[in-house]
Amino acid sequence: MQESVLVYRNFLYLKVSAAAAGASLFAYVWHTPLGQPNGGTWLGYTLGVVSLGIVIWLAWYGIRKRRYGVGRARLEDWLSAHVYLGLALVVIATLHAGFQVGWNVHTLAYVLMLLVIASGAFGIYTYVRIPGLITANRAGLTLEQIMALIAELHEDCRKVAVTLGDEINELVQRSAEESHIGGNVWQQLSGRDPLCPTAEALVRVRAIARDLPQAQSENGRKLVLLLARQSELLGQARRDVRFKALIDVWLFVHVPMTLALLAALAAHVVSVFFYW
Amino acid sequence: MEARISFLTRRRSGTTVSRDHDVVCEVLRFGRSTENEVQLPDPRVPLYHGSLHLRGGGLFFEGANQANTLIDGKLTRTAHVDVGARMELGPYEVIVIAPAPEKDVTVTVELVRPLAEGIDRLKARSCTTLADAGLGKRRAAWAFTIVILALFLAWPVAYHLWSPSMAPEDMTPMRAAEMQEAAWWPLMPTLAWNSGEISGPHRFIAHSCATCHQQAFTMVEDRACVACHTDIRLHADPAKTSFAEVLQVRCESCHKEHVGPRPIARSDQNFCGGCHGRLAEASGNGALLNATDFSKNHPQFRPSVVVDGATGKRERVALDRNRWPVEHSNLTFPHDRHLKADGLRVPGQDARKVLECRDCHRPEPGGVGMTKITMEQHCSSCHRLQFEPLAPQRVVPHAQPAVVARALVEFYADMALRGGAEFPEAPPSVRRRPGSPLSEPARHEALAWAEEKAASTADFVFSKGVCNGCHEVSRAETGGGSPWQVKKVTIADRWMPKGLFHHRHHETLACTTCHQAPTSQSAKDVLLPGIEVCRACHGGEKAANRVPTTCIVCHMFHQPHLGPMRPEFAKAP
Repeated sequence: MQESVLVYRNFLYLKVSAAAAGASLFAYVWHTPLGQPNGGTWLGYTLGVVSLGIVIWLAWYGIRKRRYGVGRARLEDWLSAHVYLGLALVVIATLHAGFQVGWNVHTLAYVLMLLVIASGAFGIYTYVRIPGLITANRAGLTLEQIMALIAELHEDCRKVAVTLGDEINELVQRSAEESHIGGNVWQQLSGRDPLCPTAEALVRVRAIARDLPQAQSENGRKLVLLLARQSELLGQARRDVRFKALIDVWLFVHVPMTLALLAALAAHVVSVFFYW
Repeated sequence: MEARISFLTRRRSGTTVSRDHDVVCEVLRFGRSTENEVQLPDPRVPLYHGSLHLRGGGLFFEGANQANTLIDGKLTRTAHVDVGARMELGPYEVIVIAPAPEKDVTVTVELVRPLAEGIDRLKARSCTTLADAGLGKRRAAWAFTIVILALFLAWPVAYHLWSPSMAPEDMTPMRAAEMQEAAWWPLMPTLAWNSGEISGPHRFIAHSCATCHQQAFTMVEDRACVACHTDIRLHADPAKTSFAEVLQVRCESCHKEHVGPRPIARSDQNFCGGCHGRLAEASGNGALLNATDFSKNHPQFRPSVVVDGATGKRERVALDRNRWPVEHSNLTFPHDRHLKADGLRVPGQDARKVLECRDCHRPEPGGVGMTKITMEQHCSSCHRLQFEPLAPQRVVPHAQPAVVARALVEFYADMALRGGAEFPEAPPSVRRRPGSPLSEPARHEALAWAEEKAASTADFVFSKGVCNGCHEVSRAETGGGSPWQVKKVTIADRWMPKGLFHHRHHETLACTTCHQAPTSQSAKDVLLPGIEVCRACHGGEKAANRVPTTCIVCHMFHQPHLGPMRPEFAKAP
């Protein structure tokens, strides 16, 4: 479905958007304004009105997608057009600005718009790329199931560790009590826990197990295997969390920045005509 | 063996409920699979975990390879178990109790670690969604929206409404400096609205937006400009032009602010070409010609040539190769004789001087035109107006004939009355010994001689090579005053008053590049270059291989000889 949004209706909205961007570019090149190209020429105003309309329409998608079965156009039409018109906006709004930037509310709106579009582009990338990675990583399990397996492995390790020395017991206990999946935003996005107690326990138990007395060596080996499996499952779970975080994270930029953009655009439009 | 399995379920109240299940079997198998006699339905238990065997009266547990079983706290695979033995099979606790009647084995089975427990603790420690990690969309969106609207909309509007506006003419340097000090964002929030840097000349009011933007939601009005620029003139005569828009055009149409430190006047030739591309058609009588691009569409220069030096009348005549204009300045001045390569004799000295253009022609301080040429300053050092061989140091004034005649009479009367003048033809009273007394008849005689001598000298001065070397002189008895008339001279100080040629900008060129003075034999020559000479270096605005030159490089929009552009905004005196 994700890729079908891009190729939807044989790239209909890609063609529409490319035509809009191409027409703007043609007008910009053809137009010989008096002075530098800027938002204040007739073409500048025209491109500005068009850009504003597109921004408002794109933002409306956030409301439209929550209303199922409303309107004649299907949500796929909306999303496909949302993606391509959003990308076309980079061209149209840049030409509206006439490539002029400065430390002002006008450039603030422009930068926010680029942030929104860039985050959206990242979103498209994740929607195309990540679901396959999630499926491959999960190997038929759900995160819940992976966590259940990890929890059980904790118990198994505990049982095996009972017969071994205090140091090992302590390591296993820490691994069982403190290992976690995900965490703060950065930990979720990195998909790693460099201080993972299980990974630490595995390294140290492996070292200790080499020198265990004969009677304990089998359990030692067994514990190493259990910890290795546990570590592997933790990695799998963390990767799963990472992929989901990647799929989600852009929205945490896209949505607030869209609202910020609308506010900045309001200030931009009012200020331009306030001090006409 | 016959076995009874009591499945224990602990209630929340603490009481235990038992459900017995009797089986007859070879071995009592434990595991997740339904094939086992004791099924342990939990995902953490392997399909087959282990089994109890009854051998020779003893009870043994035998675990599966991969399963971990704790028996009485010890990890083991096989063990002998007695009554009371406690076995941990995954999350289950199995206790061998005293066999029930007619049973070989009785065990209780209890799920002591329900599935939720371990995983719940893991979940409690883990944070697997960004929303749980504290990232929020709604709060961030609100925060950004409110901050941006407050800083960039509400605050600047409030600032505009409540800050005192200031007319530019009231802006003293002191006040400007004060505003400059307070001009930082967000103390002066309207700075964030500034779409571009203010040009240099207006920078002193750059921090007082309301100076120009006087009314909210109204385009900057011309009144704001005219408040300081009080003497801005029209571009076209309202009585003559058919282009009404050029009379009503707003200042801001051509003067674009907020475009950085460059001149704010528009220089686009298209802007001028809009009207000047159809002037000829609009004027109808051929008096006006079209011009849209210096190299492609610009008429030949039409200097204002003096056609009658006496009245100063001028006419615009094109520099046509076949009918080159002729100037009637009434002055005789051959450039070629003054610019001889071997120089000119310097009067009174045994030397020659080679004249250069700059000996007479000097740029004005502004650099556009040339300073005026005067007889006294530029000619008189060679062209001395001597008239009397006996007094070679004396010259007549360079003035009207009557003044010259008067000066001559005074000179000779003075000589005659003093006596001692060595003129052979003069009467004795004039030639008498200086200082000797003079009788009344002799005085009359001397003065009569002086009058006569002055008149004959005037004839010489005006007709024989003093005045008429340069001037056109005629004689007519008018009965009173001097009979001599010198035609009034009118020298064109600027042949093209509507075109600004900046001489200083071109001073690296030789004068002769444009002005063919060394070969000019007459002051009637109009020593101007045709447009083709300029076009050798200058092209239109978009010229690639010439100096790009737009209209306002040479022409002015505001014509000084026309009336004010915005009289309606002029302040009452």
